[in-house]
Amino acid sequence: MKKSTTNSRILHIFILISLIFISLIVYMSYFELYGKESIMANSYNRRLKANEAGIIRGQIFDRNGEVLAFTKVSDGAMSRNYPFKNLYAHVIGYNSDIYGKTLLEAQYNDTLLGINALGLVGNIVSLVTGEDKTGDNLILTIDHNLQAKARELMGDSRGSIVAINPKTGEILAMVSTPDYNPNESSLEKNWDEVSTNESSPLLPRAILGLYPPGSTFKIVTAIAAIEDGLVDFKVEDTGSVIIDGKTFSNSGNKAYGELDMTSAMAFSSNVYFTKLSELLSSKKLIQTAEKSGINKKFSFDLPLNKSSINTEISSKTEFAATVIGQGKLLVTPLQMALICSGIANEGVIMKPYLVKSVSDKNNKVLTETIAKKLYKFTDAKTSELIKDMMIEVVRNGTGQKSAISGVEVAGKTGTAQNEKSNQGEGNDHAWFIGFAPAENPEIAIAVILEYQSKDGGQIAAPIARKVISEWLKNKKK
Amino acid sequence: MNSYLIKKEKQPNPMTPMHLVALIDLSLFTLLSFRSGVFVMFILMIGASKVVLNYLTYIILRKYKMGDTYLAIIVAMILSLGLAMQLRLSTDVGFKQFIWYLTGLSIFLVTSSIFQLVNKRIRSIWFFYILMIILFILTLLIGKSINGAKNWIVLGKISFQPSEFIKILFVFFIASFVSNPEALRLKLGDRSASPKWILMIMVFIILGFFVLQREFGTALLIFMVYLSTIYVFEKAITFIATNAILAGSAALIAVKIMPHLQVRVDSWLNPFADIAGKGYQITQSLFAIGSGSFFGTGIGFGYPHFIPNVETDFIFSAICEEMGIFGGIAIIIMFVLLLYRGIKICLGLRDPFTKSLAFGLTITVAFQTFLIIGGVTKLIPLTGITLPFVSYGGSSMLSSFLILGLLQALSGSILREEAFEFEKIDNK
Repeated sequence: MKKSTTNSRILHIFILISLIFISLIVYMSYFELYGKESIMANSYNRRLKANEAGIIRGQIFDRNGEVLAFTKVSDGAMSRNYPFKNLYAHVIGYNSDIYGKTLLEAQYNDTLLGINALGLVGNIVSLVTGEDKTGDNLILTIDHNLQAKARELMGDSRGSIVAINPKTGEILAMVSTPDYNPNESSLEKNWDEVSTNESSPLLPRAILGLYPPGSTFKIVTAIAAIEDGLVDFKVEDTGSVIIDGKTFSNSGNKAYGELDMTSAMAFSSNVYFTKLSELLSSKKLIQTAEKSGINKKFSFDLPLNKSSINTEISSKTEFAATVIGQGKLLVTPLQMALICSGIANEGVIMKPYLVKSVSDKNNKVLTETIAKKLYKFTDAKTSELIKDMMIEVVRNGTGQKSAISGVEVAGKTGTAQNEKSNQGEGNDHAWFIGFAPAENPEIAIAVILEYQSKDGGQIAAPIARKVISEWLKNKKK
Repeated sequence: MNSYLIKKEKQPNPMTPMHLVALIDLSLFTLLSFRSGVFVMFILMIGASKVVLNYLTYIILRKYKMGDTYLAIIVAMILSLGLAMQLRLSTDVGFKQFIWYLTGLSIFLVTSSIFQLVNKRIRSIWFFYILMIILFILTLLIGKSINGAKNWIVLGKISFQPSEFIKILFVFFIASFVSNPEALRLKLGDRSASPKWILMIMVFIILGFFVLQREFGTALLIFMVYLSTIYVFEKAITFIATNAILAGSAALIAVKIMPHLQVRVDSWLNPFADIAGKGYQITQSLFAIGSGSFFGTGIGFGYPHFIPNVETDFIFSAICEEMGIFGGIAIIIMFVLLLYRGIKICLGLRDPFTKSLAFGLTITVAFQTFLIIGGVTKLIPLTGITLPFVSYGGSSMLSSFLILGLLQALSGSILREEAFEFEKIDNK
């Protein structure tokens, strides 16, 4: 009797230890699947650098083969070079021994190093031959001329320009200012300055900057209204209106008389749209905004901040502010460019992308990105109606400075109040979004200039015009 | 009667797994000898010798009916992975490890042949206890510190870690208690203190010695062995609870007052807070395991040298980096198999001393494996103990083979002897 109980207790211990070992195996698997994710990029992980030793990092080209980044090898030492200095700081980022990697250099690190399923095979070959291994190249959708032009037009202003091919989602230009020189030597020299400057030169505003959209958001409001059958809504505009005790007025308190939706869009009448809000449900507006990607995350070649709209609009005044792009509403410049490209592309927003293809060291193309639909924003009929309104904005309304002779431009201006606006003049954000040619759009663009004294129609629209002309001119060549 | 032995005859031929080990050895060491791009005959010869020795050991065990042949096969497999990893880390260290393996193997064969002769002669609890105390005092008097713990004895060219052998003596000590607890009964006039409580005091003194030498891992290890053995053979639940609470509070106080121990706990809870200092080892280990993922980088394609003490305490991380956690899990499974064979031997034994001995030795290896693997993967705080048969080092290798030799003897000659004796008793 004694023996059998002793033996059963021996089995208890055996089972206990086996369970301990099983938990160890489960824990290790969990670590590989989820646990390690947050720690592997730590700068104390010397493997990150060791993996790169003896590998010549791939080059980065624009869509026409212009070299935007390359690695120079001299006396066995490698250095990453960005010949256009600041120009691609907010697209390609930097690859530094000291400061790590950002943006494309970080997101496409494995590709640039040629570390993938086939990478190991390549490694063995170079092990035998003793040669340095070469990583793969990235060919971007960016057009170098357009990018340079856009950057030049931004001058010293802070802000962003995003230009997209609305039919494919290819990003043609993406500028964020201020910027910095990503070459290792200048990065090291200026790091303290750029990392602490209050204008945040390290912030890629196009993808991470969050701004109130201002009147450019009226496009989303108009889509919601049209889809709800409010296309024929008319208002007698007296320059201001009181909604639930709060006064909403037009820019400069201008009175426009009787307005339909098209003329209200053209003059960017706040009175018209806030009155419209009384007939519109907030649920419908939020739904429409979300169909354009606001409140949603999608995968992109670069890290992305989520644009957001408050989903629990509590009062009539908050809703009235939201329909004209104020209120608890924040968007990235890329998001506004996507909204605009959705109108240009019959209501369908294509998935934006920056990397057109990947090639090996002999420039043989390995993979090519295929254009994909991202969101169905609205139907073709509604987008056609909105397009006509945006044409009217440029022909006779607030966006006339974006007009190009011989090309029909569609657009919408915006002047967004922000946290600094109550400090007086010169603190609103100037917006312009648009596309051209209206009948067969080849480029959709969003321009934002931070803290300006002039409105979007005055200063953002001319920049958009020049960028659009540059693109269309080069395309004709 | 004697169902254990009869069943054994019917078992399938264990020669098949032996061939499997040989196959793995040959492919592993052939690849390893080509690793640098140039063929290194020397590495292939080590592999070939190992294969020959595997078969030789197996044949000896079979021929002289020395008991469970699976023990040696399982350990041969663990050794293959360990030796291959040591050779990959450094041919020099790998070769030394091979020499330790040869020495260990001889100890294994000698122990398994002669243990029967001393088994019944030395069972005095005081003998084992005093031997342990002498080793402790020797270490404190003439010990050298290596890597922060004063736990080495250096005699001329030979240096060894007494704790590796104290843990075996401890198992003998506990087994002596289990077989004859009355040896510890203290009589004070009419009243007598229960032997269990005397044992407890003696064990806590040993734990105190380990803490003095900063051998927290071994302290924890023998404490786990102690509690498990008491549970199995005494079934004294309240006694075990008292022990656990006492040791737990002692540990808490120790963490508070010993900065060295505090550091270990801190670097377990948040190694990234002081990644350049105290957290460096464990984070480097995690980076290694993480970069290996499930299938590993392939032998020679990782950077195990980035981990400090990689060939001793962190050898498991190196295996995970280059062979993946599947390689690591294979090692764990191998130790679970070893545990299973040990428990099986233990179940067959009937004499309390040998039964307790087999049990203690088996779980010593199992708990030690868990403590070090759990430590380097950050599941539990890191305690500097070695992975049996895999970590580099003479003391570790020899004590592991000593344990294996004892288990082998217990499964062979002693089991047979007991079966014979109990048959006589049963027939009476």
